[in-house]
Amino acid sequence: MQSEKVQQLPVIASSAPRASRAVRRRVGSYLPYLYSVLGALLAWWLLAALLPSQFILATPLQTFTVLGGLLQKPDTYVHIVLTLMRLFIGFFIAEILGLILGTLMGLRQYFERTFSLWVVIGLTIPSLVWAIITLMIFGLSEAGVIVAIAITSFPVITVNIWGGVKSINTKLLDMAKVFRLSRADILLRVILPQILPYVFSSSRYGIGICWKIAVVVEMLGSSNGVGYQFAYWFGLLSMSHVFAWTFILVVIMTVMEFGVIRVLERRVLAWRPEINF
Amino acid sequence: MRLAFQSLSLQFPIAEGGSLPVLDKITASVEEGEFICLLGPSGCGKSTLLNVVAGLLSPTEGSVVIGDVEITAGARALPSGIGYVFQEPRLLDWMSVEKNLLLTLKPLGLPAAERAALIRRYLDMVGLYAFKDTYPQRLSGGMQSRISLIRALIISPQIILMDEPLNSVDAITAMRIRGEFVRLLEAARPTILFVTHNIGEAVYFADRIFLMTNRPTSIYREIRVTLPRPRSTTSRELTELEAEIGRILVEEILPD
Ligand SMILES: Nc1ncnc2c1ncn2[C@@H]1O[C@H](COP(=O)(O)OP(=O)(O)OP(=O)(O)O)[C@@H](O)[C@H]1O
Ligand SMILES: [Mg+2]
Repeated sequence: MQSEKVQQLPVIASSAPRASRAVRRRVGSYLPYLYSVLGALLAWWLLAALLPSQFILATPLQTFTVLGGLLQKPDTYVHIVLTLMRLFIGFFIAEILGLILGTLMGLRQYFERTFSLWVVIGLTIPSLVWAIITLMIFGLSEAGVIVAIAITSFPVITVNIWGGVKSINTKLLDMAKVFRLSRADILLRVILPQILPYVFSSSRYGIGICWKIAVVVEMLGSSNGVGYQFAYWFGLLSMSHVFAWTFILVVIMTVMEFGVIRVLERRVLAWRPEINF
Repeated sequence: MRLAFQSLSLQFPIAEGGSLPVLDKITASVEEGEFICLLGPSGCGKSTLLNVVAGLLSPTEGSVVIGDVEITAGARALPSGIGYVFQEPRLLDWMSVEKNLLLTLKPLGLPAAERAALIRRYLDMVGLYAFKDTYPQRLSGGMQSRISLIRALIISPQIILMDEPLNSVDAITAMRIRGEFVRLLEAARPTILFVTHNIGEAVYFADRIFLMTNRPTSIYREIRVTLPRPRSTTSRELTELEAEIGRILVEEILPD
């Protein structure tokens, strides 16, 4: 029997105009981002100009002037790197533990019954409470900050993965059993790919939570890091510094989302058809 | 491998309490290398029966013996050497066609060259070798069915369960694949349970046809097909038998 040939389409247009059209289309697809950023800057500037006191909102100009100064000081980077390190260590611990517990809870009723109550309770405890508790236990140390970050994001990540494992297609598991796949293959090639989208969404969500809690814990009990900078400049009522640091935070988060998570996600989940709604 | 159903019954528990009886005291035995076609109304319990044989569902009463493995209400066992063409393709969407097939071959522990040769041969058989690096979601429904079909055949199983394997493949391609399949069966003689709604397909393949009743299903009648192979779908005996079975289904089974 002949195999179906993958037919080559004839090349219609010459390649040069096609390339420039592609570039134009690519630029065009980024325009909405640009508009939204310009719109936000305008709104910020208007609001700052309309409010009576400079202690409430700093204007974009003040903020960016301070920011320019900050970016020239090596100290700034030290604070950022310290916070990032705490953040990633805490997040990484939470993601690994959450992946393990969430998977167990999704696959085995025994674990689900044992832990579901505690995971839900963990979700409802405000992160500030965890911050205070860990500071009481660990004092003003690195461990306290990291543990507070891990504990706060752990239930969120667990719940995500748990839901993901529950929603896997059991018909594929049946297929795997009938064809006698090994346990390792079932776990790594049948179950894991189905929960990967949930790993991504939980990472995204988890990192967001970790940032917030990292900053709060650093504000409460640290003498360095981005959170400490917030506390310091807020104490001096310098809103332009508070805004400049916020801006730094936002830029790092955005780069992480668009530059790291989305790129990874697109590569790992390349098999998924595009959603067109 | 031989199959022996002894008064096999199965009920599904239902949400509102109570149960839905699906299989009703099925008793039959299937010889090694026999080709059995199951014909019966939609929703009567054909897929359920295959799932019991595959070890995916336990019966409520009775048993089925597969080779030397016995499946009863208490003891669910996964019999080995089974290839199953599920009613839906059930491919792993995150792996290319080739990787899907490699994964099913893995438990056999064959050398790489042999695996590659098998994949080439079976993909050629269904005319899809050019698509070996494609993700399943980028194949048409009928192409996915064909991959699912060869996934079950490629492991040279002793029992093949086939649940409407060609129902989303066009008539001409289906005819070609049927011919290839019959030729393949000359070499190895697995025992086959083949569910279909196509009476012509049933008489083309079967040694025996089980006509199933409505739910809860049991075997209403067995029809032995003794015509020599290879059969021609247009031969007079075949079309007469086809018409007779159609009459039984319409007049005797479907009414209730
Ligand atoms: N897992 C399940 N839980 C509860 N009920 C089920 C389950 N699987 C099937 N059923 C019910 O059992 C009955 C038989 O289903 P089955 O899939 O075996 O039918 P079928 O003969 O294969 O039909 P078709 O020809 O349409 O594929 C149906 O009424 C169905 O609703
Ligand atoms: Mg069915």
